[in-house]
Amino acid sequence: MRSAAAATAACEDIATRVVRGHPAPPTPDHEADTAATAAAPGALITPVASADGATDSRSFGVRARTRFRPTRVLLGVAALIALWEAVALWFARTLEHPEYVMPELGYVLRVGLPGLSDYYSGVFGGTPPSQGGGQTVVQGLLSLVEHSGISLVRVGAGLALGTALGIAAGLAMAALRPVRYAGFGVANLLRMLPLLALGPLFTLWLGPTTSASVTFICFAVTLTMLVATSNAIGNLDPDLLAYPRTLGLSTFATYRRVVAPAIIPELAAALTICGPLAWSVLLASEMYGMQEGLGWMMSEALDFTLVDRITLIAVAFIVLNFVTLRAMQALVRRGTRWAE
Amino acid sequence: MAVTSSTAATSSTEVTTHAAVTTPTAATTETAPAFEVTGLRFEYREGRQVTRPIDGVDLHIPRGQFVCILGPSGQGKSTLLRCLAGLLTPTGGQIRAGGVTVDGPGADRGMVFQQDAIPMWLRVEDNIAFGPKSRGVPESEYRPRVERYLEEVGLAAQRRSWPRQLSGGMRKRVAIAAVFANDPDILLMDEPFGALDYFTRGKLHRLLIQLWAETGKTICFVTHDIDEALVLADRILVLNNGALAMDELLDFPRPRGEELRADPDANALRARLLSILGGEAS
Repeated sequence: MRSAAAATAACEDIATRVVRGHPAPPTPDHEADTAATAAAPGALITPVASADGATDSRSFGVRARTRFRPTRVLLGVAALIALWEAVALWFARTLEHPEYVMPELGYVLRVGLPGLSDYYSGVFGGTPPSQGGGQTVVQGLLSLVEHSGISLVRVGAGLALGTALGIAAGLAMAALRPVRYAGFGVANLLRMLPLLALGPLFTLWLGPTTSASVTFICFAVTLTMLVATSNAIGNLDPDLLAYPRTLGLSTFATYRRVVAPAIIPELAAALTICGPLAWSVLLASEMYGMQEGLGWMMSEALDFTLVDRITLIAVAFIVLNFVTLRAMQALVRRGTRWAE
Repeated sequence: MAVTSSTAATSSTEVTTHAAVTTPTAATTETAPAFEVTGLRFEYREGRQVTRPIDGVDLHIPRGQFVCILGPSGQGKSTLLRCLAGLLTPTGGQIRAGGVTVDGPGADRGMVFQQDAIPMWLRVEDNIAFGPKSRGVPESEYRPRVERYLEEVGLAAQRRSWPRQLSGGMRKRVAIAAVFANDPDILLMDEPFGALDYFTRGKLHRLLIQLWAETGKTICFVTHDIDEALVLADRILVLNNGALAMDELLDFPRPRGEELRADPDANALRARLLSILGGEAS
């Protein structure tokens, strides 16, 4: 459990560091203006470095955004493994049963991985333990894939629904005063609830089902995106909203054609936070009464303090969380090419 | 050069007769002046303090006139322009645009803002087509206008660029082309060239005058720059403490350029404007 929390924190850290910033203010210069029409006047004093190059190389010690580099991620993974092994070796010397605290990675692979077969349902053609299937590496892996898939579907559905609902509600609140008065107070009040404590409630209401998980994730993501959308709309330049009105656009057209696209860059930050949030909420949801999913595996392993298995499940969480983050960033990038 | 110079003999003090106009018909909207403003007031409160940026302005602007509203900052220029645009609701008085009472912004009054307000997520050509396309004007109708103004403002080669890739002056060209392509009767411009350098501003002055001469649209142009007003205007209005302090018609021949600096009449007017504006500043 502790390692899963650490994993989530690590991904959130990556998320905040690769958040796409606002476009830097363009440099007003008449050189570009002249250069476009006639190269001659500007040619005499053409700067050696382009304006872009100059601003990129001089960040004055402030790096708002770090580019994703696979080598750095691999380095980070290697460092983490080394640290883990070092601490595990120390525990192995000092404790009688180090496997219940922090097993070495060899033990995790040798014992933990086949152990995951206990949670295998028999999909993909193997034999579940209830029908006499033994603990093998293959069955362990199949089990991990099976429950990862179930969890991934839940997170994907919850994220998609919650994002759409949250943005739609945020736009509606900004556009319609009654919705604003009715909704904003309620939304902010609900946000004050410790989210993870709501897990049992959703299971109670909707049963130990995928619907319960999806609804819970959707709830969390909706609230986050709603507040982010409201803030993003509030931060828009008033003249950007006045401009379409002076062109004769209706309120609806203004929201559709100006407000909605204009808030995307600011929503990007909230979106990258919602990925890890969805995985945390999924964990909370699946740990209460569910019979499937990574969270359920986690709670089963936790009941017997099987740290070796928990470690593997945590790794699955990290990988899936990271994949979700990258997918969302790719989506956001498609919507914000104009701001680069 | 086209339009007004001699026709625009009406001064702001003669406007009151127009208050009688009631429901506009097709005929009145065709022939009605661009703006009739009577007893315009605008005030706002901050705590107990009441500020009146516009305090009793009467104004008559005939069609096709190029009016510069001049004055130092904080004298109500932008407020007046935003009232004319319908972006601000006056506290008192009445504004008619083309014979119709203004009660909000509309496609008949286009606006170019001081800071870039064009959508940065639309490429240059989509930005210029933005107004008519979003209003549901048929493409066959607006496409020729978009092509025409793309050419006229000299951005045909940049039609697929993002605004972010353009210089400040080029983005202003996009804003101007976009507002012309929406084909309003009246253009309201709020210190549009204030942030540009001297050379770029000169080019945009020539471009704006050319488009104005071709289309015969009415332009209300807010500026704090006396020389800019002298180069552009048929008529200069000076605002002081929310009221008109001066209303002057200009008949210097166009195109106006550096030779205006040597014109004795222009220099006399510049001196008068300077003394009025300077007096306000102290």
